[in-house]
Amino acid sequence: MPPPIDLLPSLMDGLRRTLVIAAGGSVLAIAFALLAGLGCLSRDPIVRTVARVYIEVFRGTSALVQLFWFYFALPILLGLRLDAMLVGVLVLGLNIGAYGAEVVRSAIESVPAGQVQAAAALSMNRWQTMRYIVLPQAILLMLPPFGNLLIELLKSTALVSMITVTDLTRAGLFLRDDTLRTAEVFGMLLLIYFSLSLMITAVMRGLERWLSHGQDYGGRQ
Amino acid sequence: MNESRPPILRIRDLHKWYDDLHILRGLSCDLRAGEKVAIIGPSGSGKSTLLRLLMTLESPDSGEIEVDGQAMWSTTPAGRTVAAGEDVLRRIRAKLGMVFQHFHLFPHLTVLRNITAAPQIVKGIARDAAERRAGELLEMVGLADKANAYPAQLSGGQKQRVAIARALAMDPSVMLFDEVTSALDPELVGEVQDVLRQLAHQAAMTMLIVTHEMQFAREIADHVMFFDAGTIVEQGAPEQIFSAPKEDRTREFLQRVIDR
Ligand SMILES: Nc1ncnc2c1ncn2[C@@H]1O[C@H](COP(=O)(O)OP(=O)(O)O)[C@@H](O)[C@H]1O
Ligand SMILES: [Mg+2]
Repeated sequence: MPPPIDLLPSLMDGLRRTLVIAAGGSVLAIAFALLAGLGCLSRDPIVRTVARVYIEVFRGTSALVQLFWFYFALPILLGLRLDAMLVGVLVLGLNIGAYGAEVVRSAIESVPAGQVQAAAALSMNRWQTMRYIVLPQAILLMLPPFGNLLIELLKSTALVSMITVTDLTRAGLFLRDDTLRTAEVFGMLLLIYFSLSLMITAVMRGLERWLSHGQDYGGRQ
Repeated sequence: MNESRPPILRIRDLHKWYDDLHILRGLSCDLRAGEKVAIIGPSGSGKSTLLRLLMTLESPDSGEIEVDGQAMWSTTPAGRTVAAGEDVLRRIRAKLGMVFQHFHLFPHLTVLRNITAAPQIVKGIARDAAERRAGELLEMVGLADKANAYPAQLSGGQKQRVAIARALAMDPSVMLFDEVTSALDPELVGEVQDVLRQLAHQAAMTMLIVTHEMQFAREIADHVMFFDAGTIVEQGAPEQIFSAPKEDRTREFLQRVIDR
């Protein structure tokens, strides 16, 4: 059986939305993960509490319910209606960011205490120690688990079909209804999602290789 | 020697607890600028704890520490032990350098960057000036050819020599050495001791050296302190401590380490 290339054009719009949500969600997830992960380690108890509450709430409830909440409940409660694509980016960013925060926190904590002591003995303050000594070492530890989380995020983008977005999955469902070529359509979806996650893995591997030699505190010159 | 100058290091009645472990029990001592002091004593007696307190890596429960006439920890009239303000602490810390038993080099930075990092980041020294100084220090510790190596590519002795150069790059007036040869293979001890000997020739450099190498302590120090159970049991000139210790505990300790 030849690959059903002829199905691709009808899936393109959906694929584009899936990519936008996955990319936007990833950027947000990394930002939230860093903020909340560092927040957990703050000296300020209020910052620590805010970070913990965020992490527990978004890890402790399902992404689907979070989507419903932001898309259907917020307009009723606050009169705030957000675009469905935007809700998808925001919720997946917040959701995966909460898991990512734990990755950030534990990577930072696993940098040996001696590193921090050596930096302190050289008169570096907390911020300089974090920026130049701890984070560069921690980021290498974060990359593999972050790769997993971004793949998780990619797969979760299919949930946005439940809040009216015609993403790749929903486009596939429509296409199956139109063509009745069930096996081929779903085979195509599998193939596309799988290729995307392979790409994420490749990018993370590349990053890891790039960061693990020639790391420098002044950025690369 | 100018006796009217305040001691570079003045410690009074220092106490430190870890939970219900009383680690430092009323420690007092003075160090004059330029003095080379060896601290010997059984493990667990609080030697590292003292150095960590001096480096402000930890806080004492009570007592006073002055560095070069500036109070780092002091006692209020109400009897509370308080730290100096953050900016004073920063100035004081800059006068102290520390070398650790396990090196603690930054594994993600080259040897050169390990040395130039703090001068550039903390003191704002220009990159080329910092690199020039690092080059001199690497020359001094005999590792000029390793500037672009990463710590993982070095032997233990080389790592420790880089760690010494890294501390010196901040121009401290007091250097604290915490058993800097204890983690090394025996054949690498000598090269690190040579660097310490060389440093000891600098008249202005104050050195506080915790060591288990009695022969080395005797040779390098002009003053020896014997620590046991969180206090200084006995101190004096190396000849006196090693040849004619007054205290039983000192005698027993020396007997034990020399037998080994
Ligand atoms: N952070 C800590 N928490 C609890 N106990 C500690 C800590 N650091 C050191 N100790 C204990 O304090 C005692 C003295 O330690 P240390 O100053 O390292 O002794 P030394 O350097 O003379 O061998 C040891 O018994 C050690 O187990
Ligand atoms: Mg020790």
